[in-house]
Amino acid sequence: MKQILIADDEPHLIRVLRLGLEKAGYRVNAVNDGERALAQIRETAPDVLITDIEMPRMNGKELCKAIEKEKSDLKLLVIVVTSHPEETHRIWSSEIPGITFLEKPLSLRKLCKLLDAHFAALEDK
Amino acid sequence: MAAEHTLTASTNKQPRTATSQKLGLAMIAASLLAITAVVGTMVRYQQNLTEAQIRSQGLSLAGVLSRLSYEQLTSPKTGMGPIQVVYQSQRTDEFAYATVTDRAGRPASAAASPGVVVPPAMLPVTPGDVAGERLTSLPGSGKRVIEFYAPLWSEGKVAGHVRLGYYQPSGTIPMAQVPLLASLAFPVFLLTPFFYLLLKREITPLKKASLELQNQIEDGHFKQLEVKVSGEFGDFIQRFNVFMDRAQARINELEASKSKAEVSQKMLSYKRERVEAVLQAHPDMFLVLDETGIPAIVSDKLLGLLDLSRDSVIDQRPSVWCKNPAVTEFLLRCGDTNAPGYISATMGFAPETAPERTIEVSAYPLFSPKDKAIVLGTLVIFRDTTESIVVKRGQGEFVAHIAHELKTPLNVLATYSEALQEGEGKNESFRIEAYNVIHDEVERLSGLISNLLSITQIEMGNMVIDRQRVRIGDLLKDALENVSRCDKDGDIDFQLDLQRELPALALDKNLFRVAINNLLTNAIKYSKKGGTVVLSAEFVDDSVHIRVKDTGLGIASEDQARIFDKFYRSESEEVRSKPGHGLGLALTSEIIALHQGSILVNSTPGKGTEFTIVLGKKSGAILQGLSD
Repeated sequence: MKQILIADDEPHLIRVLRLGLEKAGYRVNAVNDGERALAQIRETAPDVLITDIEMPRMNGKELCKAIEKEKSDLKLLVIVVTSHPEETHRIWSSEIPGITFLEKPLSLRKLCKLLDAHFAALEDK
Repeated sequence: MAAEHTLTASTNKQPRTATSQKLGLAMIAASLLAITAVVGTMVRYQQNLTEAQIRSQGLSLAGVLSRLSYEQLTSPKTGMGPIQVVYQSQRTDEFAYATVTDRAGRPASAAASPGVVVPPAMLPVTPGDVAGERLTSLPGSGKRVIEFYAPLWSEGKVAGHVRLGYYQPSGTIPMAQVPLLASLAFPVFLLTPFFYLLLKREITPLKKASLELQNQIEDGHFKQLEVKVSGEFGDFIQRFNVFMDRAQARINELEASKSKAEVSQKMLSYKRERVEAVLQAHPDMFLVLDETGIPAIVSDKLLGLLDLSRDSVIDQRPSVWCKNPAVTEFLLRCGDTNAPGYISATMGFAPETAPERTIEVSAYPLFSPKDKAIVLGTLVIFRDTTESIVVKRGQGEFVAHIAHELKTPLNVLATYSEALQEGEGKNESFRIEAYNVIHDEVERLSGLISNLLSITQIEMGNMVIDRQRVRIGDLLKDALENVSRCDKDGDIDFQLDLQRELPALALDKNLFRVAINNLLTNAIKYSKKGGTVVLSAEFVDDSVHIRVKDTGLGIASEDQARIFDKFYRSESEEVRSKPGHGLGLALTSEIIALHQGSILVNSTPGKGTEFTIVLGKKSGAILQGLSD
């Protein structure tokens, strides 16, 4: 079972995402700050990280940079849920490649489609 | 003004008398010299005249005697012979001797003045010299004698010579002529004092004029010479006075133009100082380059920024003092007024001395007001744009914050509504949960938008507070009751502690209610189960103190300074777990500030927080009379 880690400080969102993703057949773990997310990634090596940007302690960008450093031994799909305009994504992408952005408000349907496509592509390889 | 012209002058008046005496002596000496010259000339003339007479007499007598024969002149040997006769007839003061000598020069006959020794004969050497004259001197006395001689013939041959001796006339003044000479010298001598007086009479006005000039030189004040004199010197004085008048007029003109020049220089300097003062007062830094690109004026602020002294910049090429190559190149381009495209230009740089700052450099050509084609120089403005960049960045961040804060509840709404659509709606418990979440998030969004609008209006200065007479006790009681209804579980103990005699306040009721509500909802939000929220008010030291106290999480000391900043939320996990957007306290603080009051926070992490609103006399909120 594919493992998904959610990093967000909004408890309602975690609740509804967990519900939707578990129903779609994923195992879901959730943390509410960047530091814990990084610790969890090292510990459980999830397949997907869904993270917010504004989080206490370590924000989304710092988290992504930390993951970028350890990327060689982590096969991880990073999805950043953002309320920032596209311009910010481009600046981010130039610094940290391989990030997928999903704009708020988030659609569970779109998220599930993205995950399905990702895992299907992995299986094809 | 003329008095300023002090001329240095020699002031030795003493030699003037000596000069006068010297003049008198010189005139006496000159007259004596003149007399001597006259007398000398006369004596010389007399001498020449006598000598000519002697020569004429001697030659003619020698000629006459040479026609006689030798024998005739030498006989008889004794008694009065022809020679004695001649001697007797010629016996004057001038005649010395007469003699006949034979061919060998031996005397044959002679007659001479007493005591005179006839000098020996000098026989002619050539036939042509047989007659003539010679100058000789008498043996013994040594007196000078002119001797005339001629041959004497006997039987066709020269038998001897006749010789006549005359004293050469001497240069002494003959006693007989003394009265004549004296009569000549006297008038000459008399002329001396006459000329002296005449000269003195002519010199006196000159001396007066000189003395007057001397005094004027010493006083340094020039005016016309007041010397009464006629004639040539009078004319001279008149012309001199005219000259002096013109010179004085010219001096006055020069003085006037000098003082004009001084005044205009002062005016120019004043104008320049004023222009500089105006420029110096300008908030931007500046540099004025002349038409060749050399700095003429520089602002103190720019010198301070670049850490340079005025002397190192003024009249120095930018390449000498400017450390930033891009700015140097920019300034050099400003100096090159022929460069194409030179109108005005802007560049940005971070100075070496203040790398954290961003300076925008703009150049504007200074055109002559009379002829726009003439460029007088360049005004270079150095504008510190660091602040405006920070403000722009701040505005950007503010918008990003709003977007984030708005999108976060929308995100929750979208996912829940989608989950309900996807079939989760059949699940009863999820449905109820979703309704509650959607309701809360809509409330949160609404609250956020209201707060945002209020805070923006206050910040833009559009919010006008509408002060009304408010019974503060009622307002607080009502607010607490409303808020306590949100605590559905009844976990929190609400207390109202109002002093009995509170004054009536002049407040914007609605705004003040928002401020109190924000404090109370915060108190509930961060309270633990079984916590207490106390709302109190008291009138102390002419001020109304309204306190909202809770026994909740408290605020970390590092957060206390920033809790009134917009969108600031503590990093604390416990705080973050509660919904919030970081605008409530910012808005409360703005509202209290609008009422000219103050808000203080006193908090201990883990124990609770107390916010105190103080409305003093100065706030204008306290009205006469009691609220009840």
